[in-house]
Amino acid sequence: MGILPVSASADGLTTGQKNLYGTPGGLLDMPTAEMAPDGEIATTLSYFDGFSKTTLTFQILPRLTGSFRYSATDNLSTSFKTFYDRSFDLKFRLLDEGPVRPAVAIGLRDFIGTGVLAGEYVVATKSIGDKLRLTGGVGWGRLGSNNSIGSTGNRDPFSFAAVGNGGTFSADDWFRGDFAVFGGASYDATDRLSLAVEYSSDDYDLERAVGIYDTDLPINFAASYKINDNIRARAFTLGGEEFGLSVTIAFNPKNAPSPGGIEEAPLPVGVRAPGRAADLGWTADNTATTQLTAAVDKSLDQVDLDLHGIEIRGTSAHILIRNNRYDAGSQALGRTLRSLSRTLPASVETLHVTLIQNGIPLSTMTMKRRDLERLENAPAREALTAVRFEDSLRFGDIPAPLAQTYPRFDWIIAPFWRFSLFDPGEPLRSNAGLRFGGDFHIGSGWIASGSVSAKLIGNLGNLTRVNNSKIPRVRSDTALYADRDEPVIDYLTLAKYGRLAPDVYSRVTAGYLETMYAGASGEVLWKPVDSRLAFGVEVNYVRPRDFNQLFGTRSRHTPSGTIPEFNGHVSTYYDFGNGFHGQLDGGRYLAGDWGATISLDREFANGWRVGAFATKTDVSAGNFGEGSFDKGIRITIPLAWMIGTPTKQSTDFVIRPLTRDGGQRVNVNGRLYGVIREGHQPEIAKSWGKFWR
Amino acid sequence: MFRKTSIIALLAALALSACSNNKSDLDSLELVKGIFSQQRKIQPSDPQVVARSLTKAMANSEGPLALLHLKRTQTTTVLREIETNGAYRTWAAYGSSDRRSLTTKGGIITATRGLGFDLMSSDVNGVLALITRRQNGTAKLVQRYLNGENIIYEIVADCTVIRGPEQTTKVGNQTRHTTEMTARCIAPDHEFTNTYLVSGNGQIVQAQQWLSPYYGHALIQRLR
Repeated sequence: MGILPVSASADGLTTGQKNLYGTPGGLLDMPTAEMAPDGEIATTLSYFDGFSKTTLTFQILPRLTGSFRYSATDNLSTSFKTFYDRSFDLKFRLLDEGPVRPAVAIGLRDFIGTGVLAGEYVVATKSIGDKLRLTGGVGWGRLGSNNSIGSTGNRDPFSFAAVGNGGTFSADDWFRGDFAVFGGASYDATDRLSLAVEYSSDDYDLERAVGIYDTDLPINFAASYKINDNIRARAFTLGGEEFGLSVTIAFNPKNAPSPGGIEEAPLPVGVRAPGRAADLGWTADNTATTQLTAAVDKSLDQVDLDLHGIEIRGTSAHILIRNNRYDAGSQALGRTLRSLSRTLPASVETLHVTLIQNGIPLSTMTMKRRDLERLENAPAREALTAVRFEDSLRFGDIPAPLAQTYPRFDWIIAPFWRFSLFDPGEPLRSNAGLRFGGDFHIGSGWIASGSVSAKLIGNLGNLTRVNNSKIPRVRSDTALYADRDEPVIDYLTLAKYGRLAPDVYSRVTAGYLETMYAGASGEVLWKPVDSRLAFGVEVNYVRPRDFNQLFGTRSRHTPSGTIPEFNGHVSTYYDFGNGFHGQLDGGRYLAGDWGATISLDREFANGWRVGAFATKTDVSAGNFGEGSFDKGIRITIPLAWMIGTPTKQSTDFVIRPLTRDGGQRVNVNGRLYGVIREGHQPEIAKSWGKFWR
Repeated sequence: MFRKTSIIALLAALALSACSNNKSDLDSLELVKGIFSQQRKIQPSDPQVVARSLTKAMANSEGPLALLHLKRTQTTTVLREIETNGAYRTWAAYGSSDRRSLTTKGGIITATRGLGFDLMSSDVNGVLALITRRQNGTAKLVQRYLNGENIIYEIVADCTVIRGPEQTTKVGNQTRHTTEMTARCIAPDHEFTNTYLVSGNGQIVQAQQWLSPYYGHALIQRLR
């Protein structure tokens, strides 16, 4: 009896390769059942003879991939020189590979766009040895167009006339119409070089009909080369007639360049000599408190933490700190406690540390000094069970801010770079310039903030998209706001943060809230210190600002309707505790439309977030216009991850296929949830390993 | 075509290259330093410089001293004790304000800080007991690290400790009579062998131990 050289691949049939569509897979036009490593985020650019695709792919779960694509095809339609199209894909693995059984996946291409790339498939991939992978599948739509072998009902063929607004789910067409089989093989020739051949079931009917694709042979070849862990390049040919290239740049939030960071060592815990804890002699010294305050302040200063308030009694101490450096709250707390262990008199046994942000207490953490001494060399999880997080308001008398706390002024001068994607005239437009910003901390919770920016270079103002909005123009006048060569006021506000009751936080902001709106915004948030659930309410009063973004406001009347004065939302936030976070907002949007926004993010403990959101309001798809409803993808990249030293700075990207007037909210700085959550137990516990770092 | 990638690099650079009065914000200089210090080529130590530093430390200081050699970076550092916590001693470079530290228990490194890819904590009691008693046996060795997500993971190794030959060893300026103890350790994804030299009174005077997947082996010698 012969033994087949088959076994399940050691890596769970994952691949770093991306196909022509930018989705994980070792083939070219055809899908496979391979997945990317969990959490990987990759951008792929592929090009051949007038066809380009730029795809952002995220491995949402080990068995689920999501992709967003921007494709450009020259001369596809007589109406456009280049036909630009946005599309979304999903691929789900139904079965993992077994010793004999192949992995099986099911997928949808372009399931929520115009449908020009639409295709569905069921595909199986099996590894044979370490190097060879064989794939076979059956496809519908584009993937059922070459040598169809049968049909499952009717499918509306793609036509430009039927595109309409796009953005609709055409679920009736999924897995309908003609279907065909496809297959292929990929082979890892070396550690870096992989080769692939496929038999394609995509006949490029649409492109053939207009004469921009005329390859006869449905056989494609590709060679992929891994330049380093992050970059791969590919050369390929379709039918031996079309030749093209693609490049993939991939990151995995789980793989930091310097795991654990390269920042300086913390101070070691200062351990008290036995018997010293009973010595309360220092309490008789009138100058002791002043000296201790200075010592604690100096010690915290060495680790870039700010002392906000302090109270030391015979056996306990309560310290208020502001953490502007450590992205992991646990690290700020760990370093504070170690500073205290080296500065406070031996009799002080109970240590309370309150995190202050925007002038209000977020939470108070309590740890016994003997536990700090005892657990310094123990696994971090033991320290987590030894500390307690409570609402600071449960301590009736938190220390008052030190005299040096208010007033204080923080300023920043930084370059800025703002961009707009997918304008039909130019897919990427941007402005760059300089920004000056400042925060004046007037008193407890009172902050005056402002930011002025000046464009130095850019073409954001040249957006060519015609404003054909049918509802009040709340966001679609972007170009008019962006086309400013003189300095503009980005925002100028006075805000008051407060604590209304235990678990309850408040914010009131008034002034020039954002580039397009002035007014006032009020918010209340309920969030217990140890809760993964929060509720919020926000009400805003707005006036549209002048296009020059100085001190004036303009009429609320726009050619397609009047911008209402009031809008607002009720929000529910929930951290699922498994790396996913959900948010549901319901209420009235800027254009007066009523509806709801649902957001789902995958959150990594190191601060990376990758998510998607969608808003549906009572504005009909027809009135909304292209895209049918507001939706987008957002990514947050913590800079600490990139550079390996702690910083709270991060870079946010929001990619919307299109920004229109439906489902839009006013942008207010300092919304409560993001600020408060950082100082609460569930968020701090996520990266608790940094407590001792 | 390649615009989108340069976007990310450009944006990251722009977002970072700020200048502010807040010491916690990164300025452009720090960014550049940050990027290069992550990738910098650490110079191997010059034996003569190390020898001078050693002589100076022996002559001008009191208290415990040790010598650390990291195989991966080919660096040798004279360490002085800066703090103790029970059986644990924390060390830092002698004659340097370099804020990195190292913790040992009974002569075995149990933690590092500021080296990068830090060893966060260890359970060494089982191995330590066998070694100091110069006994054959098996014990677990647990070493913990932070992963790229800032979450602790453990490398749990099963170690077989074997008593080896007796030998004389030169440690610092002294010649010591020692017993060589070897621990052969097997963890799910790693295999390593640690070698310890133990003095007659059960003190580990030298440990050549596997520190982490990144650093591989480190050698620590107790000088005083």
